[in-house]
Amino acid sequence: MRWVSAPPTGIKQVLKEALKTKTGMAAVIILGMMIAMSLSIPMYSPADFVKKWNDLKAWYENPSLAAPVWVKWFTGADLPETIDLKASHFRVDEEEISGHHITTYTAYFRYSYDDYPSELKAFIKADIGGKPVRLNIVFVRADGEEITLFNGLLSSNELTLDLSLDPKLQKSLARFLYEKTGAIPEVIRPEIVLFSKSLSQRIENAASDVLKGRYMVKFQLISDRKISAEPRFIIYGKVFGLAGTDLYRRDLWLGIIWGAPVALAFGTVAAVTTALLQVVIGAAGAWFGPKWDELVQRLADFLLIIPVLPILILISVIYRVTIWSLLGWVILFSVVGVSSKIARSITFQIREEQYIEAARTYGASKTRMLFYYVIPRIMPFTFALVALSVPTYIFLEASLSFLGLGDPELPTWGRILGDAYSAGALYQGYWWWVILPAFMIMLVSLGFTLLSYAFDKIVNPRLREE
Amino acid sequence: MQLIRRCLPRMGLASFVAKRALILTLTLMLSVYMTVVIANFGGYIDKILKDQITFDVTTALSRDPNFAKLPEAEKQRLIEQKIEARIRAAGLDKPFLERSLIQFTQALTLNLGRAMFLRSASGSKAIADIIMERLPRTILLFTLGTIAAAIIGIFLGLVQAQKALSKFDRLMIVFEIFTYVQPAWFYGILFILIFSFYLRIFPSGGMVSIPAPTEPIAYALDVLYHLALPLITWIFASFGYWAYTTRNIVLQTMGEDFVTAAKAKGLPDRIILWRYVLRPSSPPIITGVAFAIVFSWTGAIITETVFNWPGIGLLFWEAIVALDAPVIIGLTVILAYMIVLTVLILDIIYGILDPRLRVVR
Amino acid sequence: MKNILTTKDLVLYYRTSRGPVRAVDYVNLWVESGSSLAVVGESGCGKSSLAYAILRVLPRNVHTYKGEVLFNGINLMSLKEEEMRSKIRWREISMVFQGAMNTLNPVIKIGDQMVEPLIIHAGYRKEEALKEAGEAIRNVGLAEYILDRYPHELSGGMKQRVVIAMALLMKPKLVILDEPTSALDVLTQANIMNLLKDLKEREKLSYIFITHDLALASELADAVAVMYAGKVAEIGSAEQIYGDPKHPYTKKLIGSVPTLRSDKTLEFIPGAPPDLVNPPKGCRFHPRCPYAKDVCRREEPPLIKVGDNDYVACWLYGGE
Repeated sequence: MRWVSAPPTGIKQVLKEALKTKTGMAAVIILGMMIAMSLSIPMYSPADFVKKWNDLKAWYENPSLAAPVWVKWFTGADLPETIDLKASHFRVDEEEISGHHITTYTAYFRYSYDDYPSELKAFIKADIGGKPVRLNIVFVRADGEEITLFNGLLSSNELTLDLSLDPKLQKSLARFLYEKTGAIPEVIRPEIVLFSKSLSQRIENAASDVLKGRYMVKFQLISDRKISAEPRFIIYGKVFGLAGTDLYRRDLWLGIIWGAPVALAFGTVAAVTTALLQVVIGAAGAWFGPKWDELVQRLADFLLIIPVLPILILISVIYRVTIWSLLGWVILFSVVGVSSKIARSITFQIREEQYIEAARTYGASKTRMLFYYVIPRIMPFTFALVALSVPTYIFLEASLSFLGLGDPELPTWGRILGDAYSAGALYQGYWWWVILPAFMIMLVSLGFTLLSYAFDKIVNPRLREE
Repeated sequence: MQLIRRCLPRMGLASFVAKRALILTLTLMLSVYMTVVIANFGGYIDKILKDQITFDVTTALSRDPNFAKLPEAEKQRLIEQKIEARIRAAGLDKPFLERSLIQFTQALTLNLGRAMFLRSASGSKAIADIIMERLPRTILLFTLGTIAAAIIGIFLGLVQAQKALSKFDRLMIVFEIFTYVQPAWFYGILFILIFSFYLRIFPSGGMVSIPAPTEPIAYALDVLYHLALPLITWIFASFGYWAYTTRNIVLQTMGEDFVTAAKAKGLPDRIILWRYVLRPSSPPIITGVAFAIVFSWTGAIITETVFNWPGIGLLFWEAIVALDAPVIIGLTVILAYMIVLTVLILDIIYGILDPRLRVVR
Repeated sequence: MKNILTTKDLVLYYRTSRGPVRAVDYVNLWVESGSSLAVVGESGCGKSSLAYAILRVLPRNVHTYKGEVLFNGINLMSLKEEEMRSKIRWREISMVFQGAMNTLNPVIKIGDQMVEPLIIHAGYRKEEALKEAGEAIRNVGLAEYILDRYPHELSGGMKQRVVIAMALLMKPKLVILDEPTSALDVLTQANIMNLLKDLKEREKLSYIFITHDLALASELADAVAVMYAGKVAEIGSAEQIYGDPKHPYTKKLIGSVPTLRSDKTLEFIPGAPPDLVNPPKGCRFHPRCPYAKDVCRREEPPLIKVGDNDYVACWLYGGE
């Protein structure tokens, strides 16, 4: 006789006991955080986020490939955040000189960061009434140097100037540098030159080279009549938000948060559904007789041999899958598995013990007995496996999304990782694009691992002795 | 071998093997046909390929200056002629059912045919060549990795079983389950970032440097150098399974009555460990080998893609992207065969090791 | 007559999540040379644990293990594990386990399993050992081809005989049998019992025969020890115990055994078996005892001599 305390039976009892253990509580805390995160999304995420995530033009206000803001605390340097000079920042002055109407928009900003900006862009929206208008954009450095960023015609109601890549600006900056230093460097980067003390573009010593102080930007519109316009000047930083941005300027924090409910929902639904199906099928096979059992076994063998991942990839390539159709396929391929084996062996045992009683029972149908008595007894033994299969399914979906084959719209963690990989984040060191989503997935895995371990401790006698 | 000689006369083993082989063959045939159907996806790919042909023909002809001079009706006729010829050449004119059966029988007999788009490094279009060129690389990486992970894991599991329920044991369990749940490619991208980009210890992918060294020993070393990180990744992702299951199986066996009886018989610990704990434990552990190996080959796809390892996993991916159905079918069939063979061999080994299974019911 | 085995205040507690299980709780008993002691009691009263305690075959979750086990004058508890293993186990004391089905290694042939102790303890070569095993197998009434079989190919009765043969192989002085016939049908049971009696005569063995079946025990027992809740309630010669039981528990036990030919109202013992983690204070049996006195609730009774070799642990017989 072995002196081991008996395991609790009954689904509710097992759940309660599991949650009382240390690991159980840790799991609940971690998973609770995830759920809370998912539920809090409506509070700060823009409505219609999914559409926005796929609209790459909607993120123009953010810097590209920016690290998270908190990196500053670790590097000690005050890395620049984006300075967005919107229309409201500009002071309007209007003048009439010899029949020309000159509207000047002036904005000032302080720049005291320890590093150069990553990009500069100028925007203007104006109602030009069909006639081109002369536009002047002037930049005044903190040391008083004036550089004309743009001098030309505004021929439509909107203009976006990508100053960091503008060839005309390159030329005028080359001239400027030649005047000031006597040399023209090979590569001219406006966002450095405009903010550099030494004008030598030596990026290593950014902290000491950045010209800190008060800068000014001036938009000047010259026309024959009054023009109302909305200028905008963005000095893109190098850090942004809690999780940085990706190549397409998307706020990764939002993407990562959105990944949580998707992952949790997919994983849990897949895990629970397949577990239920597996248990029912496995138990039914063992319960109803050798013919059915044989059938279930053959099905199990068949599914074992099918290479599931390659086929899923194949299906995803040919048919674009949504997260729901993927769920359907995954469940279809997992309809027999480990849980059905467990269900089967337990059912055999129960059959032995209950069989005689069953013969004497009030004509209750075999099916009814299966569902009321057998299956509930099996369930607690599958909890550990179900908990563990949630992250497995999350990773299955992540695998497909990583390859670019998952749901084409939803921002899932796998998709973010896949984007990072294709953009070469691994080889260029954009670590936040990789590590932060990976961390989230690992956190969810950890939560379910601990939960599974807690269940295992309760139900599995080998882990129960203290 | 004396073992086999003693076993075979007992009719148990032979009929056991025969039964298993039959069932596995049927299953193999069914899954191969299914692959053929899916890979051609009920004619969907046909449509894509036919559209592609139409587009190609029309564009090619429109660039031909002589073509423009022809009257309209002539043009149409010529286009249709060319399209038809191409379709016939590609075998797309036969009905889907017929084609699928042809492909099925070919696949089953491993007559893999020619690829539609891909080529081997030597330029051959024969699928057998393409696959054979890349298969050894996959085997090198994944079989080596699985074996190493198994050895490490089983050893660790044994240690844990003997120190059961200690702090070490409990922590290791959580660690093992945690690492095992996450796929190798996941660690792959993290490890590339850490070890290749930041620490610069290992290369970030590929099998050889560019340009590759020509001298054989240097070449081999170069391959080893590139093999290191994917191998470490694979071992890290798989050892947990071995450790955890070994631990549990061994622990369960240790709790069996016959182990207590062996102790009462005054047998030394070493003998108890080998004959009473490990030998009865080995059948389920070895079955685990079947699962692991099966899993390793299907999991290879993404891992090879992440590391740019030119094996059949990466080939699978390339074939899918190119919608090269014959290659996809060929690969899946090879995979299915390998799986079936492995399962069969392991069933035999299981039958030898556990005499209880040979009882003919 | 000399006692081949004596236990003094033997204690074996197991560790479980609910607390220590007092399976063997200061047990004192003895076996005379060449005689058999039946240890009887309800299921779960610690009888099997007693066997493990004597042979020192302990599971992982042992909480306390102490006391004295005197075997032919040697205190086994003072021996080192290696000495215990190589000198005592199987050579001097062997054991027939409860549920022989599970005590045989399923993946090793019968013959190979049987000869292990011979090869390891006595340095036999394999052929010689197999010869001896063949003889032992014949002694228990089985044919020699059994040696070439695997355990799962044998019936329950055959396995039980194998296990007995195995226990006798090294001609030990004391054999502990733990419910050797509980899983067998009545006919096989009778056969095995006859075999045991026969062997006892022939080989002059001493037995400790553990069972919950009083009637069965009476066939083989020279002396009987009645256990309750991990303690010895009464111990004495078979005539005493069966003829004139003293302890209220023993009385009830004897009274509850149906007799074949006479008409007897069967008694039963009210209440439930005690919890070995939290046994009742004082005399363990007092909650179910019709004669319980005040002192019974407060203090545990010691073993009180009531006859030549008969002792009772009950306040009814003095000792206050």
